[in-house]
Amino acid sequence: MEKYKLIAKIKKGVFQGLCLLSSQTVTLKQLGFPDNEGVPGSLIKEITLLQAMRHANIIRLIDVVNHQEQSSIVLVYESMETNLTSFIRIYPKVMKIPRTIKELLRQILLAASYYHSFNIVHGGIKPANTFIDPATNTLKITDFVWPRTLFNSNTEDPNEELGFCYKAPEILVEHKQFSTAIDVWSVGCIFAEMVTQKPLFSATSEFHQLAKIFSIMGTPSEETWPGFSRIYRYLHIYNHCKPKDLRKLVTGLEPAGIDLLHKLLYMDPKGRITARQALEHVYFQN
Amino acid sequence: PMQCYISQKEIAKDATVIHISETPHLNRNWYFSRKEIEHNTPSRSDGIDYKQEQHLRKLYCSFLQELGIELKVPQVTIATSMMFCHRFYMRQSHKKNDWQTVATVCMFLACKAEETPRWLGELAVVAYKLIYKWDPSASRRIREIYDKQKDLILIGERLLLITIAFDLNIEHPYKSLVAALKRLAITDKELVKIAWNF
Repeated sequence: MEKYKLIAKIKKGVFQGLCLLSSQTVTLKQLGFPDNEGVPGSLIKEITLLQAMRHANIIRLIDVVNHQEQSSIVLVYESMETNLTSFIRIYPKVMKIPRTIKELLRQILLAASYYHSFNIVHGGIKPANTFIDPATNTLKITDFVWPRTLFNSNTEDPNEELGFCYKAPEILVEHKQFSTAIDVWSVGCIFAEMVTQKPLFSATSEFHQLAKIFSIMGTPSEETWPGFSRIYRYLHIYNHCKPKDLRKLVTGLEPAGIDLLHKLLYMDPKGRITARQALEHVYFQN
Repeated sequence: PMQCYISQKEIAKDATVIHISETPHLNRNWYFSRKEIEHNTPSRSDGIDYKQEQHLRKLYCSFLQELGIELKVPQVTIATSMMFCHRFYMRQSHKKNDWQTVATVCMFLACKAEETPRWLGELAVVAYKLIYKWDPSASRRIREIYDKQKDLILIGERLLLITIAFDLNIEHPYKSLVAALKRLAITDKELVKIAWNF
């Protein structure tokens, strides 16, 4: 730990620091745990996966440090200052340029298709953990909620920390079979937000989130989401809504973009486009 | 700001059998030349010659194989534990770090890394019995040393992680071997067996 100097506390357990060897600013995340079974297996797995992931659009895990005094482990990440939320606030004009939006969306999808190819679900993509370097418009995502492989994914809710506005409907109904499709939904939400500069599904609370989604995308029926009434037994309490016209809600987006947005925000996760397929969409062709 | 210095000495003070001797290297380079393996290992500086170290390597590998079978873990977990052990002794000396303890710790970590977890308590007992299998009174002693063994493994786990710089990615040759055998259309069973067990 003598390699790093702490500069500021960002939030509980997260610090901004300076690497004394490279003078690089870094983000330090301190993880504590009970010591009775040693370092938790999930953390071992997480470190293994994060170290294996090398991608220009994913914030890199630079180092892992044992912190003996506090019996914790510190993950050292490369540090970036501006997240998408503040980027939109600081550079509203840049965000109005269609090419900027296209380029940023492409980079999120590149990151997603990369880790989806390892069967890793991010589980918490949102503007707050999507970082942008204003000098180069390079986008990098971070904060994998539960970066674990899919085969043991039905035990925990990966979205405890996810801003509920970006949660996929299958998570909101607590459907236990999560897949990489939950990330694609979040990317769709971010896409719309980049265009309009406000969240597309902004409910007042998590409780109202599902109703908000239904009010825009339409309440699922047997045709639009086969088997949904079996997954979600409270469906009958929701009003039947017809899907709204996204062109009117996400104004200024070209028709190809609207088509891609529809595919990213396809309600039934089985019919949702994958990140890899999305990259080949016509929207990116010019 | 939080105070964070890893004090190697303090860890070593608690451990009776494992001592980290120097500031660990932090790089993640695991490729060594023949010369480095033959002449430049930490054990060599402590007066253990190449032949002795080769013998110790064989000892901890067979120990891990046996331990893995006792714990009913897959071969991949066993292979990973061996790799952790190899990596550890490229950076630490045999003279200061008892190989049976280190190997037990490597198995504990490999079980986690390969998602075949075993309880610390179970591992401590099984490993202790294996280490003292020549001594019929060992199983009676287990209750007395149980907590101490567990603590030792926990301390060892941190030391192992520091020593191998938290680099837990191990690529085993099994997959590539199968692919190569297929591509070269090799069907000679004896050859396949030798290659697999190499």
